[in-house]
Amino acid sequence: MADQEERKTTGRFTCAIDPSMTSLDEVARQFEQRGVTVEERMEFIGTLVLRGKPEVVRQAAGAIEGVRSVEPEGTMGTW
Amino acid sequence: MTSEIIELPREPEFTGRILVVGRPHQGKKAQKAMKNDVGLEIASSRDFDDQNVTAEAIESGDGIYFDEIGVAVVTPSDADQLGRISSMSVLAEDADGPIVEPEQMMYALAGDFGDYVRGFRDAANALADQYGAPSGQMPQAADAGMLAVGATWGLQKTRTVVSFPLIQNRTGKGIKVCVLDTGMDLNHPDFAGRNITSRSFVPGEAVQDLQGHGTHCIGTACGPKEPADGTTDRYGVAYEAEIFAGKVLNNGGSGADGWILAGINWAVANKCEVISMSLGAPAGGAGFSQVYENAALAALNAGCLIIAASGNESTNGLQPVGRPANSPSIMAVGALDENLRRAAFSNVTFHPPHGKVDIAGPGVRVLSSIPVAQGTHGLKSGTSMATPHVAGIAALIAESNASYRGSALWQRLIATADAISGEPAGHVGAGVVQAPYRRNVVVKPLPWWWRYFQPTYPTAEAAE
Repeated sequence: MADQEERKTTGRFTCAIDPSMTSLDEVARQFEQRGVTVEERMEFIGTLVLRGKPEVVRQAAGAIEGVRSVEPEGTMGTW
Repeated sequence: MTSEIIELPREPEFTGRILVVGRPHQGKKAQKAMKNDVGLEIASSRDFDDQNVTAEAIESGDGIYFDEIGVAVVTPSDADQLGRISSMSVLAEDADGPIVEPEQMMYALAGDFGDYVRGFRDAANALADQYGAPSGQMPQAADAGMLAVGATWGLQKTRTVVSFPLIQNRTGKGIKVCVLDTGMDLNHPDFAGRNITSRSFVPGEAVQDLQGHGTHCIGTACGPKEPADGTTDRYGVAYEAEIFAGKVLNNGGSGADGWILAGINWAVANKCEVISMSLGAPAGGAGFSQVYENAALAALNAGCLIIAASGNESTNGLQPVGRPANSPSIMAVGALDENLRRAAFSNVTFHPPHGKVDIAGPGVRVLSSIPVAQGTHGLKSGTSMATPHVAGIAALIAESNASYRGSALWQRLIATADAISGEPAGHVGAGVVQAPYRRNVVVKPLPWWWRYFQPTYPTAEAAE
């Protein structure tokens, strides 16, 4: 497999939650308590868009119950 | 008094047999009643393996009852038998008794239908739709060459548009299809009068598609049955689907995950059954995104199937399915050319954690709508073009059965795809996506004198 170039990132993060363990509002509240800005809440797919320093976001994500994944927001394009 | 004179293309020819259109699945009861009440010994299609009734079987004996469609073809010996058939309660849908018609010879119809013949064809298809049942009427190998004209090659190869005696009359009506892309030319004449809900998730940009990609994809998935200019071939699959046009890529053709995820959230909130995403990025070595997988699972649980392009990076060496199509719960679509070979650019299945190609669709030189400012119609190639073919057909399948939603819709798409000989499953998945077409049933158009038809006519003697 050829190497593929890194995706461009935006400086934001996407966060998926486990809806069986927590609610989006609760996770959002806890992120904000830890100094992370919640820019988008997507109730129907259990997703948040966050903004903050990478180390702060990652540290917060590790401490909040029900966070399934936090990923740097990248860009996509037409195929 | 005025009378309407209709010029027939040819004199109707009758076989001497009678079609009795009634209730399906009456099997033994129909046979028994036909014997006891009418005096005819008929066979049932259930007596044949896979209900594969031969022409010889229809010719022999007093007749046959097609169990799945509730139609009997019988040869009454006299007017008395015909009268008793007309009042058979076991076949009757209501108190009026079954519909009884003389069987008529049928001929292959050329593409140049007269209005009258087209009316016959449409009536026959409507009856087939009413009485037909998928089981026992599924396509056969011999159907492979029965393609239609007046439609793009993609609509033909996916059997979205077929020629008589095949029928495919799903339109996507009642199904919401969301296309997340560069938006849409909302002033495109081919979409005048359509029910379109649109929203832009791109900061500072309206839904209006200045790029062209989104308009093309929406055209393939949900374009019209007859383009407005009257000359362009049909290019749209689900022409009566409700369109949700979400702009998640800017007019330069790129967009952030947050915009795309917001589009998915919007579609799920609006109870769209299908989301088509002709977008992505190379997966790199990291595998799939848990965020997209989470979103796709939530969508599936809500009855919404996400279909995405596998990517176009393979021209100079095979590359894995890109993201987000590489998420296990997103259906990844590969592209085919006119010969149903994998398009050279179309990405393929790699070993885990990379995603796999699930299905394939037409993706080379695809004609569809483009913004009016760019020419109204145009050709594009890519897995982006294959994806809306699958999305449109997903809408047709979803329309055909309310239980085909989410994972069940996914399974149905895979189960009905046509495997492609000589192409590895890793390259084209289950094969080329297929619309829910089926063989027509033997329902004859009514003869010109049908309104004068009396239960005593024609008898075997009269036919002679």
